[in-house]
Amino acid sequence: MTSQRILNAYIWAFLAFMFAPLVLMIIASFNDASPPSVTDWRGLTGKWYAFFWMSEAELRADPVLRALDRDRFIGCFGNSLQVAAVVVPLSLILGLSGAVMLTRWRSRANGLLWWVLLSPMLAPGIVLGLSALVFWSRLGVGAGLFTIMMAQVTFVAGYPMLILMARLQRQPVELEEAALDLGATPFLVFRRITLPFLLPALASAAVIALLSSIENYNTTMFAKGGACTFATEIGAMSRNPNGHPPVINAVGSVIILITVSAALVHAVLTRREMR
Amino acid sequence: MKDLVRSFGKGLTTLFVAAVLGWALVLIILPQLAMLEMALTKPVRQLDSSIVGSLERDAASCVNILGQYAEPDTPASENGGMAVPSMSGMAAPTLSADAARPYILQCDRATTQKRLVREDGAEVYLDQFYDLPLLSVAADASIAEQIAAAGQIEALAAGLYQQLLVEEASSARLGFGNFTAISKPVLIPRSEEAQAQSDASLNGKAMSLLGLRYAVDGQNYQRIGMEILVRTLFFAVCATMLALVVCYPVAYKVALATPPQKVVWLMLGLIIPYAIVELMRIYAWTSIIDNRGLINETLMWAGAITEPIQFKRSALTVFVVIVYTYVLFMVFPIYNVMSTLDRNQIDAARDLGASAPRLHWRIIIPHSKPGIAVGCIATFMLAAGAFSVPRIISRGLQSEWFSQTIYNKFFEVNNSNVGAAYSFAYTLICFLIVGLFMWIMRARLKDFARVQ
Amino acid sequence: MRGKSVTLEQLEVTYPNGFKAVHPTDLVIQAGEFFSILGPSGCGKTTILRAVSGFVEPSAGRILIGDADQRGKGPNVRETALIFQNLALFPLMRIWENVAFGLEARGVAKRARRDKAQELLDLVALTDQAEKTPGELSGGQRQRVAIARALAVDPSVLLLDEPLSALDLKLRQHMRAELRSIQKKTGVTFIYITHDQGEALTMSDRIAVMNAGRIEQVGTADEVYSNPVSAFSASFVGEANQFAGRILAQDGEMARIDTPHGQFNGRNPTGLVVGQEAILFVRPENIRFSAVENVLHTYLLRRDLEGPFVNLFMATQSGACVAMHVPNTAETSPAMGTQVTIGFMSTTATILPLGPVARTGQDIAAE
Repeated sequence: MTSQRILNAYIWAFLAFMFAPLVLMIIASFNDASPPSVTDWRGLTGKWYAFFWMSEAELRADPVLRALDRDRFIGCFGNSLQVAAVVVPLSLILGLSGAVMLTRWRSRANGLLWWVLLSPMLAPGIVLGLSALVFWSRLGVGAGLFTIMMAQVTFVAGYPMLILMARLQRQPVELEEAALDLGATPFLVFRRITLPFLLPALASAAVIALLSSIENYNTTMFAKGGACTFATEIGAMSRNPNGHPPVINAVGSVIILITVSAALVHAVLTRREMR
Repeated sequence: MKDLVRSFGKGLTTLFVAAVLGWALVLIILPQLAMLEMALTKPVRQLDSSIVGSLERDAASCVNILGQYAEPDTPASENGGMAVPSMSGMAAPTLSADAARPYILQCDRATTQKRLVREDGAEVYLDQFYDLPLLSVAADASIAEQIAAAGQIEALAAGLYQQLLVEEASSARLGFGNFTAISKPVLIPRSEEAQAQSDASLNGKAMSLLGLRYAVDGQNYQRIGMEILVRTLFFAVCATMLALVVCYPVAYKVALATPPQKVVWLMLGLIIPYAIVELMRIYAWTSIIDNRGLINETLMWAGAITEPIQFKRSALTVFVVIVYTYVLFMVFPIYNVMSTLDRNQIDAARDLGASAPRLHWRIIIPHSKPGIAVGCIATFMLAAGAFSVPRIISRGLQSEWFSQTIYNKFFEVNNSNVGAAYSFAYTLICFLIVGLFMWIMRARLKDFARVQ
Repeated sequence: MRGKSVTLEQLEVTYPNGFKAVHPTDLVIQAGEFFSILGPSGCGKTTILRAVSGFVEPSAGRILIGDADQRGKGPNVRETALIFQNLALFPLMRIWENVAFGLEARGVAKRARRDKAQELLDLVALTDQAEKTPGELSGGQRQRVAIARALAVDPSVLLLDEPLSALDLKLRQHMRAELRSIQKKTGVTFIYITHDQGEALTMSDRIAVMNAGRIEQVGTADEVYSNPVSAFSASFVGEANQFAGRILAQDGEMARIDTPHGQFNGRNPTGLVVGQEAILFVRPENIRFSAVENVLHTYLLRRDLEGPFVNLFMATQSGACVAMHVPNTAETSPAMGTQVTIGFMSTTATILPLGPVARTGQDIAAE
């Protein structure tokens, strides 16, 4: 069937289009050329990767790497981790609370609550960052890591909420009732029955929240004031009109590697589950 | 609420309710209200009191500086002839040939004939409006006279300043001025040829059609704010349409036209780019479109061009990268809904003689409507709110993206009230468009959650 | 005797949408008895069960366990234990942890819990399954775990919500005997709800027949089967041929009814008077191939072999279809279409007031 073949060819073209820039980025990360290039091949090198653990002397020796502020970059990454350390647990708690309220609270205001809690996921990220900045400065809190945390939690909490809702709804209501009937307090029911049931969903929600927090650019840019995070630093480095070293390519390649392995692992696990 | 307490107990229920309330109020609703309040407030520097206040400071600085020239034989003072720094920025006094004193910026600015800011653009001056005598510091008068004049201005300004502060504190300071600033026309000085060129372009024609560009008395006006807004939204809609057209076949193939064993690998091929952080997807393009990037180098090597094409100046580049970055947000919602279609329906349709177009139009698309709606909404909101893409790809050199405008207004020009207004209005418009779209497609918010 | 009595006083349950699930009902269930509530889906039996266990609040009336009014007591406080229709075993816990859960909720130490759980697993013949998870057990085994779990909390009343409906026939029959023996051994009051009258009849000390929120009749299996007092009871419990008509004559405990298919005599337990509309019920096994007392002239319509028994469907000229349930012998297998005279004794027929029936005579023929 030619239509099938056209469709197949189209899919291949689409996938190629999707992967091409990423592959090019990986290739350029091994090229000893700055700004990163695939065409201007100057030799295979791993120094863009080694940048992160090179000694000070080696760093100063390289004309390109010398211009980079590694400490600042690592500091910004540290900020990202700090932010994530607050955002992830907080969004798990908020997400769980939201999931519980939306699935179990029988009231006419339930629909309104839906809208309100899901709206940050729909709104442009810049607006969230901006409004957090404005609000907290009104309360006297200056822009910085705290405002970034608050801005991020607003929408990141939506992901755990959706994931946990799906999982909660799959729990047969009889389990809770049986536990109550056997004399358990509601808290015991939650601790011994509901929470273990939610654990896989909580785990995947935590991972998603972590990734969302670290990679977030739009919201963070507007909420950060003078602070910096991993994402904003990468953004700033790549905005440099004079070009930028392929160190970012190296970072990107590592991220791709982690993502691909995680996806493969997940695929293998699901296949095994299906058998 | 009772069944919540029964299921979870008082302690947990309080925690849940408090968390949700905190989330809804402190993180979502109140910040928006704060933004709205800021958007409705006139920027401080536009207030009459601010203008009077800066006048007072200028007059005071003028007096100080003049004081050093009162005795021309006095040697330069210890701090090198520099006057007390004034808030309005300082320039070292320069000596010009015949003046009794060199040019002093502050003295020049110390005049009661100051233009006040009015929303409707009317020309109103301080002396007329507040019944003050018209005073200024004449550069050719004697130093003593100048000092006297400046001192008088300073005193008047000081009094008026206090008065205005009290007035303004009690009066309502809210107004829609910041919002209308979006559609304020700005005079664009262009040469005739440049203007003709601009008019002839598609962009120019479209904008005039919308009433956003017009000429009065040979002067060309553009409502820049609106132009950027309209252009950004236009690009967002186009990006959504393009993404839909591109993704529909992909979703179809993965959901309905692939044997189950292969689906896992195809999905992997889609999930991996989707899972890679957005920033990296954008960044990967910079080395393709750069002046010395892949495309330019290849074309130059092939001899097709001699000068690198300035991709980063073209809005089209940003458009393409936006589509690349967000196209997968269209695939997954459609795929999710499509895969719930009973394949027997397709077989039945084929068996009854339906052609491929009819099959899609009458069976597959109606079934996938919620997924299509959700995908379009998600892609539109992402494209409309795209900030990282224009910023990184165009290095901020393009001014056509509304998110960039908001950023500029809020941070760099220190015009945060207007920035807040822009941001609020933009969100409102986006939500309205989405609401309209959802109403047309009869999609509900619950579909959005299911399809995630 | 560990069990306690359960008393319903004018119990009424109306759902928020206005639907009256249970009309004002009085019922006394004796301590230590195996009591079944029998009725079709939606008749309100589950609602009564959930009201007794504390998951549903009565709109009116009282529930007493022993002498204690249960108003305001949540399900985790009452002395009842509920066995759910889908068992609701905790999938992520091991079998012994499931059984010991009630004890865990009461703060019993781990060692003691483990031992008690093992004791109960021995009681239900699952001694070696303690370390497994529910997913690894068969349907019948899971059933027994649910029972052990419920018994672990020493309830006074055990409530069973159609526990055997998901099991296949052989297993069901086996479990019926098991449940009965466990109940006798422990002396706990069992309230067992089901729509399967075979189950109710074999297992119970007493049965309540329920329809549309009302209890139609309470009695032992024999009473309910042989002496129904309402049309619903008569038609729901067991099979019954129905002849609708009007009372012609009445004499003490008997009466004569005039129907389109003939005039018949039957018992009149509810005191119907001449002229009233009524239905005569006679069970298939009480119809004979002889012209005794009440006679019908029929021909054979259909013969269904049930192994040792045969179900014969006989049609009359007047359009009635009469079901017969006879042993499978040569003389009870007439040829198709031949004229046969059948009859039944008046003492085996009951005439009851017109009312809702579970199945009409036509349904029996159509089945």
